[in-house]
Parts: sequence; C-alpha cells; structure tokens
Amino acid sequence: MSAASTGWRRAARWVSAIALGGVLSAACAAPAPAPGGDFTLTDHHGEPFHLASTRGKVVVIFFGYSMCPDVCPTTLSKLASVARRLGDQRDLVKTLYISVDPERDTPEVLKADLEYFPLDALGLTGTREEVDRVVAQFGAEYRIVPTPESAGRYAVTHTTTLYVLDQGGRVRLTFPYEATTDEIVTGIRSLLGPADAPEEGTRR
Amino acid sequence: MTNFLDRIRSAPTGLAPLALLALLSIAPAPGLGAQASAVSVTNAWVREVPAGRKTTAVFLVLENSGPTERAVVSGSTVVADTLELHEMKREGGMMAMSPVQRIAVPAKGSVELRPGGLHLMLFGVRQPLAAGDTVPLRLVLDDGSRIEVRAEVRSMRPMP
Repeated sequence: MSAASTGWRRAARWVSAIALGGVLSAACAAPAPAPGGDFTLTDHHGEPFHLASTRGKVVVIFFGYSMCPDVCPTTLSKLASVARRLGDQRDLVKTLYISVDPERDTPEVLKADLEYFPLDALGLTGTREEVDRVVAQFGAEYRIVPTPESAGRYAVTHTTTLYVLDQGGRVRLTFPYEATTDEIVTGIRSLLGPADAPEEGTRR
Repeated sequence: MTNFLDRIRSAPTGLAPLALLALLSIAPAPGLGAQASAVSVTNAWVREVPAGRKTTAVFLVLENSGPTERAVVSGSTVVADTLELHEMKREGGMMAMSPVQRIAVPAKGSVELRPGGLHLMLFGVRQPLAAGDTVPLRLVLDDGSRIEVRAEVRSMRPMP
C-alpha cells in the first residue's frame, strides 16, 4: 500500500512537472508545433509498437485508462460502430488506445478490455516517461487525482479527444468526446478518399 | 458517558415502554426499510464485465415521491467487493471521475444516474457479468432505509 501510494505521488509530481513545462513553453512559443509524430510503445500483446508501422492506414488515437467506467468503454463502443459503418473500408483504419495509467494498465488488462469489442484496435502502454512523451506530442493532457476514500485509490482526469491521422501519420482531424458515429465516419471517409469499396449494406 | 439505554432504565417505569417504542421507530427494522422509503429505483442497468475486467458502472433512475429530500449514502452488492457513489464531470477539455459522499434525490423529484454523469462504481467485480444477467444491489438512504435493486446487465458492444 505504501509502495503504491509513493508510486502515485511520484507520478503526480511527474505530471505537474510536465504541466508546468507545458505552461512555460506555451508562454514563449508562438506557433504551436504540429502535434503528433512517431512514437514507440508496448502493445497489448506485450510487443513493441511503432506508429510508423501503420503507414498507409488511417489511424484513430485516444487516451484513457481501463478503470474508467465511462469514457473508454463508450469511446471503444462508438469506434466499433464506426468500424461497422465503414464496411469493407474498416480494414484501412487502425484504432490505438493509449493508456495514461501504465501502472495499472498492463498489456493483459488492456487485452481484456479490447478483445471485448469487434474492432481492429491495439491497447498501448509503456513506462510513465514513454507515455508522457506521447501525451505531450499530441497536446493531450492528464492528471492523476488521489482518491484515498475510494477503492480505486486514484482517478485519472484526462482529455477525451480523438485524433485521426492520415495515411502518412499526420494528425488531420480531431473530434471531441461528444462527436457522433456519423461525424467520425464522415471524417474518416474524407481521409480514405473516394470509396471504391462498397458502403455497408450494399453488395455484401 | 450515560447512554440512551441507561436513561431509559432510570426513567419512571411508566415512561420506559414509550421510550423503547421511540427507540424502535428510530432504528428501522430490516426488511421494513424498503417498504417505508419514499424513494424508488427504475431502469437500473450495469455495464457488461468481460473476463479480466474488475470494475464496472451502474446506472439507474431514483425517484422520490415524498415531501423531503433524501439521499443515497452507500450501497453494496454480492458481485463486487465495493460499491461507491461516483460522478464523471467535464473539467475544461478533460473528463474527471471522483467519488461523491451522497446522491441527493429532491422531494417529489428524481435524479438520473447515467453515462457521463452520476453513477455507482463497482470495484473488485468477482466474476464476469454477461448481458441478460441480473445483479442484486442494495442502496442505503440517509434516513437509514434501504432499497433493494435488481439491475440488468447490458452489453457495451454496438448493436449488430
């Protein structure tokens, strides 16, 4: 218990250091650097994952954590609906769920979460430093909030934006948490280009 | 410390039965609470729990037909180690989850526990919960009464 609580304290310090860094850099850098870029994390099979390996696919990225009861299941469920709506074009899209709670979200935990949804998705985790680097790259944010009165011990407040990358790995679209399946499907189709694949429901 | 029972014992004998009656009416008898409560629950459901997952959320609607505000202050279930009252909230561009002490149900009013808002969290879920299963829950109100709830497990997968 005490080891665990030192764990989150250390993590909380990390996050505040990063938040402070963000404030400082925002204060002096005028044009925000284009978010995104390549990264390496560990996937839910325990294998190294390089974003560069997804070139040629549209990639949907979001940040979350498994203990969260709402955002992550809702987002995964919505993206599974998106995939179904994309029909044959679904094979051209990859979903990445990056955990901002790497202490608890081991590859095994992420696997249990992801296998439930009919979706071509990978759960990604890594060391705290690795995850923080990717969070910063995408301009996402999270904060570890101790909840000593709860069996959860701590909660992770986090951004819920969906980032959609084109086939070259550039962030082209972002969607808020409230975006509908329709909006996301339309956005992804705009990146996939003219569909030579049939739409769902036709010729299947 | 002179406690309540001492005072009852030392009270004139004629008053003792009355005091005892008062004591009984303060502490609700088990089983009676559910009937006495003005608060009822409808549309209770739980997110399906695949093997390997240990947490889930419960959503429901609380209705208060009485003239006094009531609040849910705790609860329990046989399917999980802990049941807690939680709330999801937007904080700027972020979503935050935090435990809350109570969930108030206004007099002659209702409150909806729903995704993205107030909900019950189950920690340490003991077995996978499959769509169609029913989960028994017990909620405790601030007046000591209890509500027995049967929540239906619902799938999180998109409908085919």
